[in-house]
Amino acid sequence: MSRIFFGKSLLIAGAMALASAGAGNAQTVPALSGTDLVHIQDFCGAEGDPWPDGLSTQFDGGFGATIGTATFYSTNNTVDFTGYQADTQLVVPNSKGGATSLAPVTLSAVSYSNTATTFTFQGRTYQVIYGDVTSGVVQNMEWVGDFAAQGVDSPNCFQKGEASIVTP
Amino acid sequence: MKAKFLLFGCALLLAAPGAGAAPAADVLNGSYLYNIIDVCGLAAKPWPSGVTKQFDGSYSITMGTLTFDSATGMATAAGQTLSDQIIVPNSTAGAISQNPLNGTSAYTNTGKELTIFGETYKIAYGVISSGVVKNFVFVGTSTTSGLTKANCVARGVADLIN
Repeated sequence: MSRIFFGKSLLIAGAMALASAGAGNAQTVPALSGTDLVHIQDFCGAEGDPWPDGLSTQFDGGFGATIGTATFYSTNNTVDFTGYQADTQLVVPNSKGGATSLAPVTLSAVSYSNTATTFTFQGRTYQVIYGDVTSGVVQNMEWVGDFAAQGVDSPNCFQKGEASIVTP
Repeated sequence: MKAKFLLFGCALLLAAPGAGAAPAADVLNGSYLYNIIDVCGLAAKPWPSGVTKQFDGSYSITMGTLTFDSATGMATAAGQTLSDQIIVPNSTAGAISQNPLNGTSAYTNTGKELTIFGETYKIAYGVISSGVVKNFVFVGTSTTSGLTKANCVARGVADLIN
């Protein structure tokens, strides 16, 4: 199946850089801390060359969805994740079915970094919009990532995700 | 497309609060604003000639309300589904549809799996207050081998509104 997707590309954004909350600091970076409810979608276009005869379908494309909870540790900029990921191909050649998968996903102590507008995780950088921030901690946020622009292994893939805090 | 009704369901097990009783399970109860993204892969055989393309694939978005009654184990969905095909053969348009989505289903929820409208999903809870789940997410793949549901993934998000 797809070469991209999750296990890899998950999540969220995070925090840190606990920017010192000094007066006049216009670039304060809010922290991610506590447990968040998370859902993520990955979209990948199919590749075929030549097309449309498709003699060599090079990548069948895909859609992936991941749900679960992420716990951020702002003291060491790591995140744990527990949940599930479901994937399917966009094109299923010579078949009627069998292109889906559903499996648990567990990540432990994965490093991340973030700025006021970006989040970097597992070699991918996402654009982040923070929602409510309480006492310097993000309460909810959304992010998107265009992997084509990053030259990673998913030239036709982008991701959208959301997280909202459950336990501070 | 189908997975239309995905959704969820709920548990209960409201254990009698007696001495030694197991703790009551958290429940889905009340009306939730929800949305679902459902993507089904295109299936074609033979490939690539596509003489017999069997399913054009689909991309659907459903939104509406889903009301759970934890006392009866019944859920009612109301909303709209907007669908398009992933590939539109021999055409430049005309594959989009929008339809109301209404229905009632019994449901079960173990806290890890939600079964509703004939589908089973993995579920994750968000905030829980007084034993009621305030928000949750779920994901699943087609469980049937039917032609149009063989390559589908659906994910949903729901937030309690009342």
